[in-house]
Amino acid sequence: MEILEYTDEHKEFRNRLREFAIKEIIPLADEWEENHLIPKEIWQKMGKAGFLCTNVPSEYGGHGLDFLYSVIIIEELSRTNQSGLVVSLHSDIVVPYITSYGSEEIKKKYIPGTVTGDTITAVAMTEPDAGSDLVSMKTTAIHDGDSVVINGSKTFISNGINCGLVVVAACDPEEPDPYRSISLYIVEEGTPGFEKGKKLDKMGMHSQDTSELFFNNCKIPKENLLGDKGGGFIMLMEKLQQERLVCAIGAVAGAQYILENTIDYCKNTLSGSGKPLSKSQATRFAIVEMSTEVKLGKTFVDKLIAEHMNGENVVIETSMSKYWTTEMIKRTVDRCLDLTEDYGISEECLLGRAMRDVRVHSIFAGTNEIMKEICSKFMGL
Amino acid sequence: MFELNKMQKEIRKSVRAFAKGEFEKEQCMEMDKSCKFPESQKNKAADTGYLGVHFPEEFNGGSLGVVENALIAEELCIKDSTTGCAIMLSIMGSEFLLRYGSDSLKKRYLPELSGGKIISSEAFSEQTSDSEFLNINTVAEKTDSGWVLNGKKANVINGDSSDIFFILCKIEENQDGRDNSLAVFLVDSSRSGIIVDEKKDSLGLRMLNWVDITFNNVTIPLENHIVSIGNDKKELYLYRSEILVQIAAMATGIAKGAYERSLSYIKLREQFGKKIGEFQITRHKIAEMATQIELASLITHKAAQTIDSGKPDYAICAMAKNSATRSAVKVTDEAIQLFGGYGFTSEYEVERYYRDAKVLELLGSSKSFLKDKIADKEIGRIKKSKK
Repeated sequence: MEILEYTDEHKEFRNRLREFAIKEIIPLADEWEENHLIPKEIWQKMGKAGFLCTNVPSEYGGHGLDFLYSVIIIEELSRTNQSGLVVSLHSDIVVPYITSYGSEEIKKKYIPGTVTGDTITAVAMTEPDAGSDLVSMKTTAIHDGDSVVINGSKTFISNGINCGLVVVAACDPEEPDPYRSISLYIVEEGTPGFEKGKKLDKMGMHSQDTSELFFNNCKIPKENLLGDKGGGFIMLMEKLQQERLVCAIGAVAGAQYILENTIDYCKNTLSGSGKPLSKSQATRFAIVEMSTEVKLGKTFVDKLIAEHMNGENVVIETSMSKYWTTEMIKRTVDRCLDLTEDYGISEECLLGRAMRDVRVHSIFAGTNEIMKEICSKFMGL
Repeated sequence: MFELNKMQKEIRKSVRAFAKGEFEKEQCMEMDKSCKFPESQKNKAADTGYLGVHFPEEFNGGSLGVVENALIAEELCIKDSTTGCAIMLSIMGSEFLLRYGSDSLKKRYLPELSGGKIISSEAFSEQTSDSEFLNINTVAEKTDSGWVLNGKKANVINGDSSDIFFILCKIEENQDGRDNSLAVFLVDSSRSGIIVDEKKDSLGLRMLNWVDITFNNVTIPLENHIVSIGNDKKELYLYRSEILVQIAAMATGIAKGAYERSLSYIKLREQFGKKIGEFQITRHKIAEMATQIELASLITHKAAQTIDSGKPDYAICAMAKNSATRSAVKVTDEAIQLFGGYGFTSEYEVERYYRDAKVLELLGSSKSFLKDKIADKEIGRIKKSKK
């Protein structure tokens, strides 16, 4: 019995995406890793094939599909040996800010491009001195007649180079309550005063163009405000449930893929004694333990997906799942590397790349320490 | 062996000062990125006497022990994990020559190795061999004038730039059905018939290169046969013990290096109106890291001491390697977490320490194999149950 009920349409969609990935993504993964960039064309191809912003309503050019389609996309992209093509960040995290809080005009203006992949999006919250402590951000937005002037710098912005549109969090320096001072704004690429900084040199996720963004007297129309002025913190909180769930889905699917590959390797590689590595009792037990963890994670996360789709408040559980699954995928890669012995030293063994990529999972989208703070707060501790 | 003696403390201090002066952060980051061997740093370390400190003075060594060698490895790796490991592993395999080589070979090569004039590699592993070196298919055949070697070795560290190889072969002349007729040979890389494959990109320790090497009718003089490996593989185990200790020492240094960086960072980084080092969770992470390092350091020194005392204990060395490399992976992992997003960037170095730590854990004998060997010693023989 499955927790999630995938229809034939869902299954057909998954097959179509898997074929697309085999043809359009997997063969290019190494090249993207080397270039430290995803070509914009792949976003357009994804859009054309209907794999972007699947839940956007049809009046904005979208497909009006349920969240299970997003789940399928996250799961399938976890099996492509690259983590730069962050479709879920675009479709399930950034664009929802616009669909939920943008004015009708703003939605009509910006959303269709995000569905076709002509517009790649990013969200800019983190600053050099404001990571976990989000409300201490220093980027300011000052309303001046019909426009808003933004000043400040952001860092660790995924899609930072490729983005055509950024949702920027900035605060009102006049508002003393930090929880009421943050607002969200849409800034288009090419707006004077908005500059993309250097790509960050990172341990992993090499195909991801994570970078700094700078706003220097960047003037935008006041219509680009999302929701109410000062409502930024609440909007961010409202969207976090889905953001964290997205991380957990990716972690479980990634761990499963890594484990499948390792099992294959252990079954098909002979040890010096002439038997497959998987015949060693210690290896068999390790594989069983890891498979158990992946299954536990999947069961937990699938249930959360069902509850999330049902509109339930599962903030505590999604925060728990984000910290637990991201630790789990790290643990899984680490142990899988041990099973492959010195083959894992070489980058031709994809586990090395996996290890480099997954290390950031326990840091991004709120560190795991922050997840535990959130849980404990909502648990009344 | 709970405290270092005065001279050992002096060594620690001087190596630390040396590394501080010679290992420049930006340069080290660049060498890691571009997979470049730290040639000048290695030469300076050799000039200062840090290479082959456990070789006798007559061979340009320091006439000191494995403990002192471990201290040097540790201190170099604190300042820069990748550079430290590259320097230490630039004379890999030389302990075979040191322990078993003829005087003339030792005279010829050991001073060159400790002087940083040449680098050496261990060429033991093969595609289908395992940690026990079963299934070695590289063959040495004796002729009137020397030996002829044929076979392929896998993942030879520094194989692309090495001047001499210590290569493990199966001996062809022993056709009497004896198992384990293995021997170690010294092969000059200038000999013809040595084909080096393309360098492999590696997860960590990127200043070293990793290559597969084919030996195709390579002829070497008779005297380059260093030692025959007995049925109990005692010679291999002694050599391996030294390597395991060295890996444990480098891992301990890497853990310390990441720890020291974390310690400075948590005292500076402010979030939620206070330094992150003031949060209980951070303090406990630090406590855990410090404990791991203390343990790694103790067991590594104890393992080194068994070799210096003339009673090499392979099981303790295996424990040291497994436990110190595990500690290094855990400590460097936690360091990244403490640095947050910055920890994931190259700029803050701890990500490189983490990759290097993991490679050290995978290097040498596998964790599982070492546990088998520790258990062999601990459990001993078990009487088979009667059927």
